Amino acid sequence: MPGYEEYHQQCIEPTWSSHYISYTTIKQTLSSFRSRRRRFTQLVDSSDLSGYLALEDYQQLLGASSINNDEDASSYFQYGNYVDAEDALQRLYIIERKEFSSLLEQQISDAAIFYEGTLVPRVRGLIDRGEFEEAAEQLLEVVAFVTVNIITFRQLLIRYDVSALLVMCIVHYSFIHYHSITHYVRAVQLLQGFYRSFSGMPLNEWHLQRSVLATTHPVHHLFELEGVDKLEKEIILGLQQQQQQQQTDNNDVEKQQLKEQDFSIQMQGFLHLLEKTDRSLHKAVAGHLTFRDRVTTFWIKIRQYLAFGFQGRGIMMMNEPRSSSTLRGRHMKQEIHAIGKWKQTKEFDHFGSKHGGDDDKSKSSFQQNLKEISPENVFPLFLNLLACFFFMMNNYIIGVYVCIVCVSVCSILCPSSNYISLLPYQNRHRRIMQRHWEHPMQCPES
Amino acid sequence: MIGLAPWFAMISSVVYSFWTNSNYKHPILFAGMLQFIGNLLYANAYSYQSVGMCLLGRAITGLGAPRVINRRYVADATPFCLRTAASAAFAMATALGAAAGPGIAILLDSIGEFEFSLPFLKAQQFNGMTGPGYLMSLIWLIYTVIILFFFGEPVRSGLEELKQREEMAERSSKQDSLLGRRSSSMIRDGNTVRRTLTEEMDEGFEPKYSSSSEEDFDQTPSDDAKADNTNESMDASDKSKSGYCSCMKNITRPVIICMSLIFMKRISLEAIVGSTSIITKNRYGWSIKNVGMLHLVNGIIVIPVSILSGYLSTSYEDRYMALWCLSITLFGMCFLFDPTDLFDHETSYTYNESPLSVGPHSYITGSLIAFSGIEACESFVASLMSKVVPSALAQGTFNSGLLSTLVGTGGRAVGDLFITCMGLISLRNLLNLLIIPGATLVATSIALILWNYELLGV
Repeated sequence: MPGYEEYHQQCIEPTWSSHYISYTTIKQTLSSFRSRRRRFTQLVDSSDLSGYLALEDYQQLLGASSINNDEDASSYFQYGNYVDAEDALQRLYIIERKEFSSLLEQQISDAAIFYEGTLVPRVRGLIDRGEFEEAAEQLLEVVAFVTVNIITFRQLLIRYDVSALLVMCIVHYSFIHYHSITHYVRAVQLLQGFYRSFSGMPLNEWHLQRSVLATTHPVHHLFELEGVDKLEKEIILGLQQQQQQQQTDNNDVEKQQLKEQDFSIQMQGFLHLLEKTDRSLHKAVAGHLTFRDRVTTFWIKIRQYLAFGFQGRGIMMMNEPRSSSTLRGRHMKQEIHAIGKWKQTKEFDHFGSKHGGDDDKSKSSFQQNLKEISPENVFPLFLNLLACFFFMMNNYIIGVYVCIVCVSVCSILCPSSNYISLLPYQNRHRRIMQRHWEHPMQCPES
Repeated sequence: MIGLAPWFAMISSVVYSFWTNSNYKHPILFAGMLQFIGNLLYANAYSYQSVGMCLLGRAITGLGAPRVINRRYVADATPFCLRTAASAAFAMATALGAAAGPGIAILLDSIGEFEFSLPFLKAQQFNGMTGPGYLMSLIWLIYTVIILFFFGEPVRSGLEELKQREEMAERSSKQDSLLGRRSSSMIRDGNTVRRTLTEEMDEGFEPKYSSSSEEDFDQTPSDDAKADNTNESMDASDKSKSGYCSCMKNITRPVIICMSLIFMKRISLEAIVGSTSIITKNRYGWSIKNVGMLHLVNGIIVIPVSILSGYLSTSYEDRYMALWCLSITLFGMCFLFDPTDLFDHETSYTYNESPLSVGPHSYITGSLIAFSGIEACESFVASLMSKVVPSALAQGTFNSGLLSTLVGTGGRAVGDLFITCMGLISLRNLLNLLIIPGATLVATSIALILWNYELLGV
C-alpha cells in the first residue's frame, strides 16, 4: 500500500516542485534521529562507568550528525571525561527538536514566501485582466499547493511525536537497567514535558505563535489562507458578470453556471480537508493514538511485565527497534491521497465516509435522528410494532401447546414440523424419532 | 394446525400489500378483526368439539397476519436515518412476541379449567388449550378498537425521501453526461474537468455563491424534451406499478442481492434454531424444558442485540454492519461444527466423548452467538432492502415488505425441507449436515456483500 510519501509526490505541481515542503528530507532527518538514539543506547551500554557516557563518544555522536551546535558539548557538561546518561539524553533530545523545528520552519517559510510573493499576485493579475476562468483554475491550484503544504506540515509534526515515543522506549531501557525506578519515572516526566509540545505548547501552535518568525511573516498568511477568500469572491462575481453578458447563448450560460458551481464546491472541498486535518492534529496533540498503537503499547507493557517477573535482562527486549517502530500514530494519508486524486481528476472522492465510522457528519446522534421522523408517524409506528408483537405471540402461544402435544407422541421436529413442507416426511420421521427418542445415545441410522 | 396459519398468511400478504398502496388504516383494521374472529373460532372449537372450526380459526388467523403491513409501514413512514433502528425495533418486537408466547401459554395452562358463558354462544371451557385463543381474541379486539379511534393515516416520508434520492441521482447522471459532452472544451493541461454537482451537494458541499437555483440550472431547451419523456415514462410506470411485468423490470441487482441475503440467512437460521430440539435430544438427551429454556434465552438476548443494532445504525452503514453480523454468525457456527464426526460417523464410541466434539456448552455458546448475529443482521438487511428497492416498486404492490415476507417465508420453508432431508440422510451426523451447508451459505452471503459493496451503498 502506498505511503504518505508516494501520495505526496502525486500532489506536487511539477513547475512548483522546489517550493513544497520536502517530506522526504524531513523524514530522513527523523530517521537519522532514530539511528542516533540507537547508537546512543549502544554507547551507554558499552560504557565503562554504569549510567555514564564518555564525553568523547558523546561528542562524536553529535558531530556525526548535521546538528548546528551553537555550543560545544564539553562546555555544556562541565564534569570531566564522563557525562550523565540522563543529562546527555535530555540534551540530545533538545538538539533534535531544535534541528527538526529549524528545518521545518525553513521549509514552510520558503513555501509561504512563494505563495505570497508569486502565486497570489499571479491570480490577482489574471483577475485584473478579466480572465476569470483561468483565474479560477489557477486559484484552485494555489489552494491545492497551500493545502498540501499545511497537511504535510501537520503530518510531520505527528511523525515527530511518534519519534518522541521512540525516545520513551529507549528511556525504558537506559534508566531502568542502570538506575532505580525513581530515576526512570523522573526521566519519563522530563520527556513528557516535550512530548507533542514545545515547553508545554503544542508544536503547531508554537510554530505559529512563538517561533522566531514575526507575526507579519508570510507563513502566517499561508496558514490563514489570507487573500484567498477575497480572490474567490472576485472570481465568482466575475464569472457571474460574464454569465449576464452572455445571456443570449443558453449553452454558454449553462456552461458558465457549471464552472461557477464547480469552482465553489472544489474550494469548499479544500477547506473541508484543512478542517479535517486540523481536527486530526488536535487529537494527536491531545494524546489520542490509533487503535493499532494502543495494541502495540499494550503488548509492550505485557512484555515488560513478563520481563520483570521472569528474567533479569528481559527488559532488553524493550529496546528492539522492530517493536518500537511499529508505533505509527495518526496519519493524514487519506487526505493527501484525496488531493492526489484531485490533481488527476479534479474531483474529490469524499474519503473517510465509506464506512461512516470516521466521518463526524455521519455520527449524528440517535436523538438528532429521532427528530427526523414525522410526529404524526410515531404513534402509528408504535401500533404497527405492537401488532407485530401480538402476531408473533399469537403464533407461539398456540404453537407451543401443539408442540408439547407433538413432542409427547414423539413426532416433533420443532419448530420445523410447523410447515407443510414436512408433511410427506412426517410418518417416516415419526418412526425414526420414536426409536431415537428412546435410545438417544445409540444413534440409530435412518 | 400450526402450519395452516403461515400459508394463509402468505396468500393474504399479497392482498394487504395491494391494499396498503392507498391506505394503511383499513387493512390493519381488517387484519385485526380477522385475528379476533380467528382466535375466537379456534378457542370455541373445543366447546363445539369441531376440528373443522379449529382449522378454520387458524386459517382466518393466518389471513389476518399483519406482518407485511408492518414491514411496509417501516419502509414507507420512517426516514432513511432511522430505517435500520425501526427495522431493529421490528425484529425486537418479533423476538419478544416469540419469547412471550410460550411463557404466557404455560401461565394460562397453570390457571386450571373453568366454565364461562359468552353471548350468543353456548357455555365455553377455559383451559390450557383454549385459553390462548380467548386471550388473543381479547387482545386483538382491544387492539382493533385502538386502531379504529387512534390510528391516523401516516405521512409516507420514507417513500418521499426515496423518490427524492432517486431524482437527485438521476439529475446527477444527467449533469454528468452534460459535462461529459462538453468536456472537450474544458480540458486544460491534460486534466479533464468533470464534476457531479449534486453528488457533492448531497454530501455537504453547498456552493457558496451560486446565484441561480437548481431548477434554473436544469431548465435548458435541450433537456426539456428529455424531462417530458421522463415524466411520461414515470407516469406510465406509476400506472403499471402493481403489475408483475413492471415488478420484474424494476427488480435491480441490489434488490436481488438483498433478496438472496434474506433467503440464505433464513435457511441458515432454520439450520441453527429449527433443529435445536432434535439435535439436543439426540446428542445430550435434553428435555423439551431445556430446549424451551434455550429458545427463551435466545429470545431474550435478541432484545439487547436489537437495541445495539438500532444504536449502531446511527453511526455505521447497513452494508458494513451486515458484514460484521454475518461474520459473527459464521464465528458462532464454528462452535457448532463437530470435527470428530468427520472421522467417525458410523459408531457412537466417540459421540460427544472427544474434547473436540460439540458438547452442550459449545452448542449453547455457538447457538447464542450465531442466533444473535443473524437476528442483528435481520435489521440491517431488511433496512438495506427497503433502501435499495426502486421507488416504482416501493409504491406498488411488490414493495420491499412483500418481497421480504415472500422470500423470508420461502427461505423458511426451504430451510425446514432441508432439515428434513438431512435428517433422512443421517440423524447421527445431523449437526454437521446442517451446520456445514449453513456456514457455507453465511460465507456466501459475506462474499456477496463484499463483491457488491459499492452497489449496496445507500
